[in-house]
Amino acid sequence: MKTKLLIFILLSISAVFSQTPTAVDIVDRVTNVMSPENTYSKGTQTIITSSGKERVFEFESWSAGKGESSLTRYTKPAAIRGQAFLMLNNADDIWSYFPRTKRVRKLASHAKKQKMQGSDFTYEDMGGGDVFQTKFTPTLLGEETRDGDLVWQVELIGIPDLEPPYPKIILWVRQSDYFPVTLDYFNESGYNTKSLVLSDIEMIENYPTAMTMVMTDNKERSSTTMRNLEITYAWEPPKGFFSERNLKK
Amino acid sequence: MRERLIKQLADLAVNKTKLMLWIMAGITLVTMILSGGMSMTPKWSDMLPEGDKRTLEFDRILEEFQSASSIIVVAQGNEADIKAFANDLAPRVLDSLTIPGKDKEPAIYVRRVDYKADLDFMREHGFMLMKEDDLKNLKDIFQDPGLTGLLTNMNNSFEKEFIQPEESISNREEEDGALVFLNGINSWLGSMEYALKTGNIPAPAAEAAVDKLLLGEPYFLSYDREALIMNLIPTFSMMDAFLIVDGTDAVQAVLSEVLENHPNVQAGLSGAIAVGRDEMYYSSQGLEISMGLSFFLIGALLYMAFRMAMAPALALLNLIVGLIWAAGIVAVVVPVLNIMTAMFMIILIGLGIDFSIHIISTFTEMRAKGLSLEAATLSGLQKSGGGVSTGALTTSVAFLALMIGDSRAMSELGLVTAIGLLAVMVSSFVLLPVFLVVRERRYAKKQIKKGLSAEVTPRDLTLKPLGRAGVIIQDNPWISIAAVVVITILLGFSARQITFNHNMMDLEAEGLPSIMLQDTVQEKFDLSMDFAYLVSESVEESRTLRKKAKELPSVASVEDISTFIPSPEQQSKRVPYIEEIHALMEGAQVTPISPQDLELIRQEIERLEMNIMEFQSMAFLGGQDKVYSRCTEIVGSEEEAPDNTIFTRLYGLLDQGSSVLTSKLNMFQDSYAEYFTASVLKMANTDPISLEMLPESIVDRYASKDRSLFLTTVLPSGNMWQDKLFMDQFGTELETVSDRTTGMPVIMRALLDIIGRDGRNAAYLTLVLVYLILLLDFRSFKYAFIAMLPLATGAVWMVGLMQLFGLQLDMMNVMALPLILGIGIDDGVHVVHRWRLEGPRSANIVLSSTGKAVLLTSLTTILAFGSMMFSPFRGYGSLSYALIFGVGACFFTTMIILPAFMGLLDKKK
Repeated sequence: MKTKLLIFILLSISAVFSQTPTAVDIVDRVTNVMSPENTYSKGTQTIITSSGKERVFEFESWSAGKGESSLTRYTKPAAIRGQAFLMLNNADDIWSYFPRTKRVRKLASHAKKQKMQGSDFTYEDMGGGDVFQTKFTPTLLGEETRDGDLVWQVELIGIPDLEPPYPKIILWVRQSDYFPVTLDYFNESGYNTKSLVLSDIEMIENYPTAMTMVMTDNKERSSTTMRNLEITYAWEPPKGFFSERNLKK
Repeated sequence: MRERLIKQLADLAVNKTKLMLWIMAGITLVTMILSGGMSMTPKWSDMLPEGDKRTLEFDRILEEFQSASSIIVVAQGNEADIKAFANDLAPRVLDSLTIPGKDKEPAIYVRRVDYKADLDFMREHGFMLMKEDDLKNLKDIFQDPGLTGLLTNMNNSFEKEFIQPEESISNREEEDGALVFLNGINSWLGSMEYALKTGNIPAPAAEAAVDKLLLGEPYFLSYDREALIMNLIPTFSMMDAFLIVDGTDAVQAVLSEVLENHPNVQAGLSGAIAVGRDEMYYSSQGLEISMGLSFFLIGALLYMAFRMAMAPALALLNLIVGLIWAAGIVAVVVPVLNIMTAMFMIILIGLGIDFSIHIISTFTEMRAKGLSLEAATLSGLQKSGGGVSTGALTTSVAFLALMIGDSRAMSELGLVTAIGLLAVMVSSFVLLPVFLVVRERRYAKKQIKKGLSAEVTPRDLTLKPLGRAGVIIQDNPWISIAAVVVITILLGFSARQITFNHNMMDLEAEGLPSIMLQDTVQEKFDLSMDFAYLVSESVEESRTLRKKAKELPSVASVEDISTFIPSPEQQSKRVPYIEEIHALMEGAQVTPISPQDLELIRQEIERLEMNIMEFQSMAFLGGQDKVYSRCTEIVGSEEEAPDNTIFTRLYGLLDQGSSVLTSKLNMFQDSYAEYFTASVLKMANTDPISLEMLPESIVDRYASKDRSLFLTTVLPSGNMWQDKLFMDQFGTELETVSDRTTGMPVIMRALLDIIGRDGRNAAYLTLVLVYLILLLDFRSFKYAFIAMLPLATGAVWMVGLMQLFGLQLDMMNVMALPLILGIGIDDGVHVVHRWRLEGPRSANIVLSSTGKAVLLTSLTTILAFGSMMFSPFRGYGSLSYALIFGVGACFFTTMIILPAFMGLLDKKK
């Protein structure tokens, strides 16, 4: 009898521990995984121009406060070397520096919903933060296998009063490390207008990190590929780093 | 019954020769007259099932909307030259035109020419047509017409333009808007430069610069401003098949005449009507060339095969008569041929000549054996008649099986070819023996006249090598069968790899002037002609459709009349901004420029330059190539200091002495400021825009002739010809907006699906029917099966070989699959017939005699189909390659498999 009781207790404990996490749990973990405190990276951004040519840019990027502040400076090609963007308050305030005119221009706050430097990412897509947690209601739709990984499918429905960036997003989250591998973005009419695929995932300083991110705009039939060439989370921002003065450097 | 009929026909040919000739001449005359009623339609939609809602809607659009049937003039050259050319051509094409080369009364073919935007309407309602966000951003510009104020306000507004409006707009719309803005500024700066340089500027030039700044470019210019489009609205539509050719030719004649006065301009016609004209003209020409070429090649082949001139002459003469009969009957049954059915004559040449070849072969063979004229005629018909009639019947049934399909492309092709084939078969049985008898009698008379014997010298006309090959196969049946099995497995594997090319553009004619200009329009104007249409019954319905269509992921842009008639809500939201602009401009005072203002003017010009430079950097990052290159034209490249831009030239001119400069700037300000103020006040009209207020040029573009229907044009965001999945997505998404969607992409998608399904169903039905006919003919399951074996194997070889040679299946050549079942079966039928007639182990005689005829018929069919390669329509070429592989494969499988079976089965006996 005692043995049976012990087995029952052990099974119950194991059942409790092996329970599928709730959608809220998954989104919390995704937010943690996706938002390291500080980041420094070097990378490339590849776009297709309006006349169908491929254009590759190289940039350096710094972010702090889990993406609340960030600075991106282009290094190649020569035509835009030194051009930089500063985003503060989770991309609510965006500033741009133009080396040719040596001017800093502030872009209005509603620009965060617009395409970032002509890419298929919006400023808000790159802003990071806890937007999934605060502006959406998550629902766990199920689980499936994607590229050999067991993933959860989570639907995020935007809370209209909080001005979510998209009315709906569907995430596919790896069960092994809570890293989202695909994000489908939907418009008000329910059409999947954009998709983000995160791949070449490597463990960098305890954070799963996608070395390649491809955002596809299904409406414009365009895509932007961001590749991390170098990345570290062990970077500490010096005081005043995210400032207009530093933007000009 | 067949035997009795054949005997009677032979008897009539020999004993009632003249009567038969007169009767046949009469029939030929009647059918020739009937054939005159046949015409052709170039519309792909005419290949869809009759009553198909997409076709009906498409036809309704072509009938009702003038814009759907337009002639587009594409002119290329430098900006000034092409504008001058357009100004010259427009009034000329509106005159009565005479059809070139024809003695007809002059006719009015062009109702209107649209080559400039209707600026008067924009001048009256320009601000009401602006989006609320744009009004918010741009209203600052319209508060001070003075030079200093305008420059300052322009800069303020320019800096706001970094932000896109809240309303979602496509990259294309964003880029186009930026270009209009940049062009306006550039033109205005240009007039300032002229004023500073000359100290004088004519009022029209200054006013034109203001118009460009406020209203944009009136001409329909390409992005590089080296091409211009004129839209000619004809008095006829795509539905008027004859006028398409005459009307287009008349316009082309005027165009060529005007071009003589503009040596630096190149221009041509494009658009639906010009493309339709070219397709009709060149496809008819292509088919005529193909027919002529096939007649010549077949004649040459028969001459070599029969070693006499009369045999091919008689065969071709009989074929021509058969074709006239076929055309006459077809003109009654299907008076309008479509792109697919138009090639039925070529198919008939390829297949119809076979009947003559078989009959002449056996007839000459019998005569060569020394048989009398009567005996040879009867024997010739008896020996070949079974094969010919069964072959013709199986092929006709195979074509008739195409009628199971829903598409007119397939069902009408099946019907006209089957009818035509039977007509040619009848002429071969009825007329050809008469020709042969006449020829033999004339020959005999000539011989007697020369004092020679009228008897025919016995000759061996068989093809011995084919007979010898047959004997080898007959003696080694298992080796031959093993070889066929191995080849079939390998080619079957290859066949499984074949892919389907959904790109309809690969089937279109190549090198046609109108199609090449379509590519120019696509390249220079970024304007695709592959749009879908939606029809609505009111402006409001059109607005709703537009809104829904615009949200679809597969849609790039939507154009409709509601763009020019904003909704009452939109209009009322714009009114406060327009009233503000009106009030500001009304109160604006233009003060003369003083020397103290010069520094500020210089600073504002420098600021404007910097704004454009920053715009340029953002355009580079954003991949907006057109904006980037226009900025580069204005401010130079980022990588080197600009030395000759409008700004560097202006800075040079600003270095003049202050009193001279002040005077010149005042002159410039005076030249435009009053006009600017008046124009802005006129544009700041808050009267609600209604349909009745729109100019004809805009209404005609979107409304039907009686203004009861409205057309919405939807442009896809991707290339559907290279991506079938996208084509399906576009079609499916549009169906959610309206169940009456039509247009080329929709029609082509439907055609691909329907023809694919029709082809598959027809192929299955053909196989069953052909087997049943063979069963009736041979009255033996075994022989019916054996006769079909080469065909089944040949079909696999055909697809396998196509794949090996790098061909893909497409909408045209997929028809070859059911066709080859009807065509390829003849080889097996003739050989099995002769085999049964000649008895066991008769491979030698069967292959050297009937085999030779089968070889000849295969070669003639290949030559006929091969001649289609020269058609400018690549679709015909694609079908021709498939049929060549099919006919060739069926010949070889027949020549290998059947002697092997002769060896196997007869050995057992």
